[in-house]
Amino acid sequence: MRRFISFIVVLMVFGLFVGAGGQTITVWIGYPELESIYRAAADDFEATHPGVSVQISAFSLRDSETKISMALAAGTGPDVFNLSVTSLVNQFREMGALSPAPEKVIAWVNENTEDWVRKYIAQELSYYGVPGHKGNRRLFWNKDMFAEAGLPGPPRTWTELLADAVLLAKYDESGRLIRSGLSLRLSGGGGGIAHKWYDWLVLAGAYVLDRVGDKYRAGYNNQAGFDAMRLYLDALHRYHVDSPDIKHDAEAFALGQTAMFVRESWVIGYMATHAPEVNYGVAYLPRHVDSAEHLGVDVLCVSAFSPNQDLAWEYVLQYVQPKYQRMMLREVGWIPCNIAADYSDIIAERPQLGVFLTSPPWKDHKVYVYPGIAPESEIDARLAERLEQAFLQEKLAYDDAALWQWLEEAAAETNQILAEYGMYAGE
Amino acid sequence: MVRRFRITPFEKYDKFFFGAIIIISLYFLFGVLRLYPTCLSLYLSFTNYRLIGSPSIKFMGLTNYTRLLHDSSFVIALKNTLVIAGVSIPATLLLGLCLGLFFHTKWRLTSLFQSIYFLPLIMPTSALALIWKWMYEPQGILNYLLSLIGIKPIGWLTNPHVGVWAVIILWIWKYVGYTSILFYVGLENIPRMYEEAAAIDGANSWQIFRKITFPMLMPTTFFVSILVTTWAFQIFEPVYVMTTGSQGAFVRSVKVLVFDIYANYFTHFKVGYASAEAMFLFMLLITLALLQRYMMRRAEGGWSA
Repeated sequence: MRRFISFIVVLMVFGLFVGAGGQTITVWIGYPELESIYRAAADDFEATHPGVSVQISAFSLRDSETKISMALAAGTGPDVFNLSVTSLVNQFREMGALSPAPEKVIAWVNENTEDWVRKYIAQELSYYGVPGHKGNRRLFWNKDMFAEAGLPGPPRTWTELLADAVLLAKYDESGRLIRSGLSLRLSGGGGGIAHKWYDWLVLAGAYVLDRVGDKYRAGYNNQAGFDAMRLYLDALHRYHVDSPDIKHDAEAFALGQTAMFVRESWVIGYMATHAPEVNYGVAYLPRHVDSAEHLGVDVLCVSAFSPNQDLAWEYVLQYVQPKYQRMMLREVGWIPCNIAADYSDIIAERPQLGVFLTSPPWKDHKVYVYPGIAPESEIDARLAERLEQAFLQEKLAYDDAALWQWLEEAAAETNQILAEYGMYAGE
Repeated sequence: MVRRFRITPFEKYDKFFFGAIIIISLYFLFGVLRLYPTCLSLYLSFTNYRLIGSPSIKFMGLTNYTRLLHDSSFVIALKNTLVIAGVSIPATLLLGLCLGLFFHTKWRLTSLFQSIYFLPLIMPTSALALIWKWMYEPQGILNYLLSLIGIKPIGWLTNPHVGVWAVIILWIWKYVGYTSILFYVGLENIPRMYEEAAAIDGANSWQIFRKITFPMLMPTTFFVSILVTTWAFQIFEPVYVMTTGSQGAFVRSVKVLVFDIYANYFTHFKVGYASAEAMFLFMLLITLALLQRYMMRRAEGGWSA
């Protein structure tokens, strides 16, 4: 027994020494499809930094941010991680869990990103993150289906959108929808439903939150919110161009079960892998009251608990270099925030990407970015659940008063959440 | 020649010390892993503590508990949980008992069926939920099989009135095998002489089951009912998996208490509020367990009268 215990102790001591020596940078990412890009940057980083190893771990987005939150709250976690919910950046910053970007990183952000990104990183996030990629959305449309329906091109207004969807939708003998004319985000957990609805809300001329000084209130219980809801309700209940009983999203588009849908640029990489034969185009979202888009930025942060913060920031700077950003655009399809790189050859190869890399040509085009406030995820999740239920209520498609009441109740809940966080601006 | 052994004081008390070490270790583990987290959760349920962005912990009394009553998300989660539990508990018990009786008949292929029905229990619930999510798709295998008998496709996850039933079916399917094995073991432990004596006295199968077998199965039934009740009220993985992704189930139609607690804790970081919700679930389960025990005792008293 004594010999066995001695053996175990020797093994443990040996293990300590084996583990010691050399520096390790741990990186957690919430995009499994980007793991190979991070790995490529890590391999080159290790080659130029002998004795340093970079460990990449990829999780689903929802799980990744939960793990990071738990780890940072416990004072542990990775050295580098990405966050798509930028309110988390400010919350982590306030609890002292983030390392401030050094001067050369700030300089890189100012020299290599477009205006709205630079402003967002500076004003909303105080340079506690480096923009990795952005999540702007465009309309994917099936060219063959449009030609079959006799339509010249993608819709430019909401009226055209619904009219085209009616011509593109297909039904079986019993009247059941078998191909949606327009695939909307109708279900699923988290705040995804709300985020996709915001794409239409901003085109209708409003945003989820109105800012009043440093406080907020619900910004959608108005005509814009009404119009955005009416678009969904008309599509589902008046024109029957979409249905919860049919496949949705990129999978439906790849399988030919929808003619149009709205998503981020990663779909281009997905289609190249899963359905390269589909003849599709990408267009700006059709206008309504405004030309606008609701954007998100994924940021890379360094933990304040990292024992290798300088090295971690160097790795972050390595990752955002043109070589890896081009790799990301070509292989995966996410749009880089690094505007200094040349992407023309990739766009020539995949013209659909060009629409994501440019803003709509209208002079009055507006960009909305979610403020980095703490109640962001709760507001989005609660509103998403309400939207999910509301979309299925046929009554709301025909009863204006009921729809207005729904908007007021949803806004009241948003305001209540803001009030709980001390951020409600009042009526 | 008989050798006499001298017992030292250490040898006299070594069994006592060994037992004491084991019991103390168990109590220590229980305290660290169960008691401490429960007491901490109870304390936090009366505070405004947030995991991130909470500079100080403020005592709020019963505010979190009263907020629960006005929280539509909690009310919906409670309603869905009660529906799932209200259907799956009796269904699992009844089906488990029927299967247990079937296994008790010692049919030739009984062992094979026992293994088949037990398989879902040993498979990870998340993996099972993914498989069922795939089967529940609009063009999934379930709707295909239904179409063969002329039934129109059902929106298992996309119809908000059906979503909760999709979860119930999965849950019953997962645990009916385990309950059947437990009932089978309970039936095997009933001395046959009572049933044989009743048969000799002219009792038919139903009378034997009602007057002899089922009363003697009470302890097993109580144990199994506590288990399935706890599992039903703590359901989480199927709901989490089925609501994931852009084609997931409608959240409000399947959201359950543990899912709401998870969202409040891990997504919104409202630890105090989530703890209040967890305490509510804890008290609900304790109440149900005591109620079940009381009902079982009354039933036992009635049968033995």
